[in-house]
Amino acid sequence: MSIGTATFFFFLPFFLSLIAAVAFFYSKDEEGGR
Amino acid sequence: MSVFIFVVYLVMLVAIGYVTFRKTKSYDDFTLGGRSNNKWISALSTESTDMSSWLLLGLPGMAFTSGYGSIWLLIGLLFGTFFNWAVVAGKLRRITEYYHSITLMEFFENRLGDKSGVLATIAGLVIVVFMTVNSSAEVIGSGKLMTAAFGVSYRSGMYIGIAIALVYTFLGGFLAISWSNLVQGTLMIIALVLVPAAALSRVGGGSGLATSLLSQDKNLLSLFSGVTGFWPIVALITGGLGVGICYPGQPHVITTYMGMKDPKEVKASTVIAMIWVGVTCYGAVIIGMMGRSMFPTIEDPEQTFLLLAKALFSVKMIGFFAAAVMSALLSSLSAYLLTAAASFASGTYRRIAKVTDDRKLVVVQRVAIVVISAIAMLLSLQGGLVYKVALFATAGLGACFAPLVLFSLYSSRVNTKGAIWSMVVGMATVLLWWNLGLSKYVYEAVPGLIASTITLLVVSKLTGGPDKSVKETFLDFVSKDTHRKSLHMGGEARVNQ
Repeated sequence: MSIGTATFFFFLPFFLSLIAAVAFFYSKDEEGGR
Repeated sequence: MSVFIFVVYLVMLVAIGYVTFRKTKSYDDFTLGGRSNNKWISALSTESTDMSSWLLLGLPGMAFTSGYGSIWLLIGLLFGTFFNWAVVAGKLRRITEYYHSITLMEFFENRLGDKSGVLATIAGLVIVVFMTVNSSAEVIGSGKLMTAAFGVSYRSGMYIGIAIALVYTFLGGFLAISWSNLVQGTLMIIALVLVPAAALSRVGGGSGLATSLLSQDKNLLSLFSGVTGFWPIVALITGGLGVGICYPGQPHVITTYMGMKDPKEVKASTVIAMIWVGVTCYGAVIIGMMGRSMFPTIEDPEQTFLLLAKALFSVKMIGFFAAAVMSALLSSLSAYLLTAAASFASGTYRRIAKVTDDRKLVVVQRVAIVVISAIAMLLSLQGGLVYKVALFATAGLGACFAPLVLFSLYSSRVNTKGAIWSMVVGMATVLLWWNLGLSKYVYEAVPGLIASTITLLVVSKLTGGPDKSVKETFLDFVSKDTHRKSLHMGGEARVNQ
C-alpha cells in the first residue's frame, strides 16, 4: 500500500465519524410525535 | 509566569467548586446537577470525563511506537463514542427520568424491579473498586506531570492533584464536575490543536513528517504497524475496536448523559462531542508521530506531549500545557470519585442502612468522596498494582455493564437474576482471559462481552423472565417514549421506593 493510500485510510475514520454525527443530527425521529 | 498560569487554573477550579456548592441544595442537585446541563456542557463534560490523562500521555506514546497502526484504536474511540451518543444517551436520559432514577444503581433496581438489593450491591462494589483504582492511576499521573513540568516532588504532585479534585467534587458534586469539564475540555482541545500545528510547521508539513518517519522505520506508515500473522493482526484490531464496544458500560461516562437538561439536545451534543473527540484524538496521535520524528530516542514516549510543547513554545507557555494535561486528568478523576461515591451511597449504603431520607445520601456521598480519595492516594503509593488493574478497567466495566445497560434500555426480556449473573460472568471472563495471557490473541473485552450477553439472556430466560409488573412498566415507558406526547412522563414507575 502506498503512503498516500495509507494516509487516506488513516484519516478516513475522522471524516466518517463526523459525517455519521451530522447524519444523526438531521435524522428524523422514527417515533414521530414531535 | 508559567507557574502563575497553572495556579490561576487551579484556583478557578476551586472557585467553580464554591459557586456550584451554593447552587447545590438537594440529593438530585449533588448527584446529577438537577439535570441542568446544556448541549455544550453535556458534550464536553462527557468527553473530557471519558478521556483521562491517557489522551495526552498514553495515546501519543502509543502513536510514537505504532504510527499509523493506531488507526484501529482511533476507529474504536470514534465509533464507540458515536454509538454511545446515538444509542445510549437520549434513551438513558429519558428512561432514568421515567423511572425516577438519579444514579445507575437506582435505575438498574427500578428498571428490573429488584427488591433484594443484591443487584445494586454487587454493581456498586464493582464500580467502587474500578473507580478507586482508576482514580489512583490519575493521582500517579498528577505526580509525574508536576515533576516533569515544574520540578515539584513526585509525592507533592500527587497530593496537589487529589486535593484539588477532592475539594471541588466535595463542594459542588456533579455540577462542579460538569462546569469545570467545560473549561477543561476547552483547554484540552486548544492544546491538542496548537502543539501538532506548531510541530507540523516545524518538520515541513505532512510530507516532511512522512519522510522523517520512513527514514526511521517504514512500518510506522503501515496501517498494521508491520505486524504479520493472523493472531497478531486479530489482537491489534480487536484491541483497538474492542475499546469501542466497551463504551456503554462505562458508568462515569454514561452518567453524564443522565444530567442533560433537554433530551432533544442529544443530537446537537453528538455533533459537538464527535468534533471534540476527532480533533483531540487525531491531535494526540499526530503529536506521538511528531515526537518520533523530532525526538526518536525519547526514553519515555508518554512524555512526548510535554517534550514537544517545551521544544516548540516559550517557557512561559508550559504552565498552560501543564494545565491541559492536568485538565485531562482532573476531569476524569473527579468523575471517578463522584461515580464511586454515588454508587456506594445509592447502591450499597441506602440498602444496608435503610435510608429513606435522600438528604442523608448527600452527606454519605461527601464522606465517601473523602474516604475514596484517601484510599486512591494510598493505593497510588503502591504504583505497579494500580496500573495492572487500571489496564483492564475499561474491559472489566464494559463486560460487566454494557450488555446490562443496552438490554435495560431496549429489551423487556431481562430480569434481575440474569443481570447479576451477567455481571459476575462478564467480570470473571475478563479476569480469566487476561490472567491466562490470551489477550495477545484477542482483546479480553470481546470474550467478556460475549459471555456477559449470553449469560444475561439465558439466565433471564431460564428463571422465567421479568415479573409481569416489571415488564408492563417497561412497555408503558416504551409506549410513552414512542409517542412522547408530553415531556414529563412517569409517575408510578418507582417500583421499589
